[in-house]
Amino acid sequence: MIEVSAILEALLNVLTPYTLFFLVLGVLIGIVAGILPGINGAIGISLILPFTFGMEPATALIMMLGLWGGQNFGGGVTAALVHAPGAASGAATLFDGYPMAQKGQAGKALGIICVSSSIGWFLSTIMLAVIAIPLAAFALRFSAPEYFAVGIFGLSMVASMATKNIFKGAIATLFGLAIVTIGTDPFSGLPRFTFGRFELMDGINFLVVMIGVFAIAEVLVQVQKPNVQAKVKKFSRELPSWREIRALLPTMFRSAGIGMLVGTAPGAGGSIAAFIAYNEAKRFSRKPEEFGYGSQEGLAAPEAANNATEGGAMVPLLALGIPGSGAAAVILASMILYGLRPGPQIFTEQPVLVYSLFFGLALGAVALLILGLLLTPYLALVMRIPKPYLITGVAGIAFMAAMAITGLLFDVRLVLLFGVVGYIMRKLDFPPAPMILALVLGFMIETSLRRALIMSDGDWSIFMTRPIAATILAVAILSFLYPMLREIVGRLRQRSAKQ
Amino acid sequence: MFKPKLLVTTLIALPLALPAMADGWPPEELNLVTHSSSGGGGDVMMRNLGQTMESEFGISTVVDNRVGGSGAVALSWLANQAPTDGTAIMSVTPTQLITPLRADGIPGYQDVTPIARLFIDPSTLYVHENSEFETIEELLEHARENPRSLSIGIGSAGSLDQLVLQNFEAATGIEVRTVPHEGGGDAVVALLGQHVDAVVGEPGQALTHLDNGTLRMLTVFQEERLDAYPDVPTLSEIGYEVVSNKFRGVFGPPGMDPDLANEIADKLSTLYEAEPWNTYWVEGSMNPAFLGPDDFVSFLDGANEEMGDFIESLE
Repeated sequence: MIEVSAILEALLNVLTPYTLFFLVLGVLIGIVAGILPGINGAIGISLILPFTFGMEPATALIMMLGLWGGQNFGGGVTAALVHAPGAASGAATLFDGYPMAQKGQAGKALGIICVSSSIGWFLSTIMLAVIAIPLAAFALRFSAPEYFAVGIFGLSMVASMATKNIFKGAIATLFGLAIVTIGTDPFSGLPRFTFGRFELMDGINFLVVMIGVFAIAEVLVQVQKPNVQAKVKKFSRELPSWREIRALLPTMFRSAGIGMLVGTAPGAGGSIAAFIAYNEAKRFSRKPEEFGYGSQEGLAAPEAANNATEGGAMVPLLALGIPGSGAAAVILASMILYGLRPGPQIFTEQPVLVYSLFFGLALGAVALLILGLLLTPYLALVMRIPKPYLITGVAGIAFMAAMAITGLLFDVRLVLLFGVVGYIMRKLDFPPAPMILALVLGFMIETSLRRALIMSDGDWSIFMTRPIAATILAVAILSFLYPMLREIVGRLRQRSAKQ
Repeated sequence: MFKPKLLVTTLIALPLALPAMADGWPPEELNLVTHSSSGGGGDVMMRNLGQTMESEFGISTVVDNRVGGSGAVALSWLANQAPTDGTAIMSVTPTQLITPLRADGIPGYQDVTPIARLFIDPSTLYVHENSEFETIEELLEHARENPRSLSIGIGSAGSLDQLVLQNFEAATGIEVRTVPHEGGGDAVVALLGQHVDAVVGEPGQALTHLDNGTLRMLTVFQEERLDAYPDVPTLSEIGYEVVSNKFRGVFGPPGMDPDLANEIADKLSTLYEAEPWNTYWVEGSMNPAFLGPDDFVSFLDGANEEMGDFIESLE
């Protein structure tokens, strides 16, 4: 039941210079918001909201969607250049983006981030347009046991992230999980491990930990290195070649699919999708050993996935009127302000609007590709800044970001504390990635586990009897054991070859 | 008698006095503080109020999100740093009662100036359209015969929804499993997927689904039936007194001039029909329930006592 006239009308609506102008403006503001640490999609959209009154609802919403997509790209840019994500969704981009930029391939790194973001965004829009309603029904089958299974599946990545020393990886994971327990107990509503500090009642924001453990720790490490000022660092603004991009396409497609699915489930978000996509890319890769040292696949996967979550999040937003993230909540609130009521009926009552949003999203992805590639050579110039200035700047940005997230001086101190923690972890060779992963997933794992057990009245078989949950858990166990089994098999082979 | 000197002084003094006389409140720039992050309940309320005041009074407004500590950050700012001249007001919900009760050292409503109660959010109970329960009596009967068999979702733990549910259980003598979520929207998703048997919460969070029949409202926890759902009985109609007091209002900083507080309350009481304020509360199924500063304080006294007992029951 496709209404051709509505599609045409929507296309004509979107292809006006007026709408296109605001779409491009939205993407541009989004890129800037993403690059600036502390300003996320929800805040960016709230900031432009007052200026959109008086616009056509479709134009205003398209501008907001553009901003949202642009900010997913911007977050990755900061992650690659200064070792701290500009937005939560860029968390997994840091692992390979930063090493790549350090190798002097900043242009290439940003180029890959831009192309994968755009492709992830574009593909998720197509999926949204084609299967929004069946997907919404699928999302509803997800409840606490399924979310728990997804969380455990995510944690199973620790095994592949900490290949050097699984025990140190496990300790880092437990440390991350312990940090998550600080805050307010989600089931009694009472403070838990807050040490009497009200600043801790909402828990510790994982961006605060990340900024400390990555950016500040990096600054501390760099400060100790001799200053190789005399030698100009190898530096290239060169963009990735078409051949390189083509080789990454399978990774991008797969990651976009992952991002779309994860984004559809309300409650999981861009950062979780990016981590899962990163791990799947590593598993499928022919060169998994490059991951963490500047792998192009390791960069393309999280970026394609986090932009694809936008299309995914539009599914429950449009079809059920349920926001899956902060940015989606602001968009939902604006839709209600415009007198639009999302829900299954919006597809039949407001087809022109819905199709306009689809076209807006698709064109937003194109706008991001063009804008991103135009800006990349200039953004990459950051790497030309002499090291002493650069690391001073990074330290400044890190503290500013901490201040911007909550506005509390307390969080600035936390960033410093986690900077020292991160520094010690690096010196003792503890991998920080599993800790961040635990921080991203910990809350979802705890709440969904406890909620599932309330639902079943304490019966653990709820995780076995629900097909989706049981399947995901089984895959999680396999994915946890896979890297270890591969290593054992490899050693046995080596041994038998020697004999 | 013509006194040129007096005229001149008056003319000189006039512009100086004008800003103070210009109808007093609201000032040209108004700071609307909220503990919610962007897109949260308090944030949406203040953005709507801001839009409305801008078009009604021609002033400019800024929404100031002072997020953190379950409202403690915003409360501390209001109690210690906010200007007392009426250029800053803060949104309040029961959170501002619950947080000071939960942890020591956080300023409560006694330490600031309650200005006005604006709305009461109705609390309701709804089920999925496929549910076996057509009426609240059927649900109660089932729950009595099968203790702990029903699971009822609420927005978040330690919230007003949970208090209402607890009172509901105590009044009707049933026992259910309480399933807290990460907000009202999540609870509705769980109900849409039929993972819980019912949800206790505001109709606003499930409007689309209540209107198109995917979800069915069984009862209302307030004195009167809801205008939007005239067929749904209140719980008191079937003999149990459970009333929810989920209020929304505004606070000012401590030491605010009582006349100024009264003036702000009066101005806010005139806005209910203005847009987009009107759309905001009608779409959210809220009840206008205006109380001025003095009445608001006595209301808060009562609500605070009930909340204190509730928090103790959780510990």
